[in-house]
Amino acid sequence: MNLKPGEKMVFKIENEKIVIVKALTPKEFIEKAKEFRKHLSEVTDEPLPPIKKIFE
Amino acid sequence: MNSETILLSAIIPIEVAHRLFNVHEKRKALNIDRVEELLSSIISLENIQLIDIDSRLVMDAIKLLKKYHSSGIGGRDSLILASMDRKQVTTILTHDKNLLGLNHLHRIDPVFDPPLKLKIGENFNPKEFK
Repeated sequence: MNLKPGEKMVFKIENEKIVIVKALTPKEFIEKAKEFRKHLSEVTDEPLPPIKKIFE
Repeated sequence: MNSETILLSAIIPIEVAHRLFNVHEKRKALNIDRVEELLSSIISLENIQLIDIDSRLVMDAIKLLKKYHSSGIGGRDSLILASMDRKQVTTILTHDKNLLGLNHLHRIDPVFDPPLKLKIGENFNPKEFK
């Protein structure tokens, strides 16, 4: 695994094995959260409120 | 969120998973694998510090529950408070009206628009809660 300066790694359990992966940056996480919200909005009747600026 | 380290009690992602899996029971279209993946992502976030639940934390949480249960603080809340005490964290992001009532903490409720910010020592008015 190649890490750039400032990047971090974390231990995760995948398929009952401990693996080391690059930690997600907040920006990467927010993108994932937005994708999930899109999926969530597809299965709910009421529109979801926008992501608050405080989380970005 | 971009620069500060965020303390996350291990109970929080479990609770979020529980809620979303309950949604899946009613709305099967909600993909529970995606829920699991999202929560795994939270734990893998570089500025998250996950606080594991160990025997000492459980005892600390019980002591806090003894102190605050009459104020409406519950078991999960006390675990969160014990995690904060362990790391000497004094700021909490919450939409729980009982936690918002703890004026020894700096409290932020992002559900309010603009977010409600209560300084240490400042009292929370439950009538404002929505």
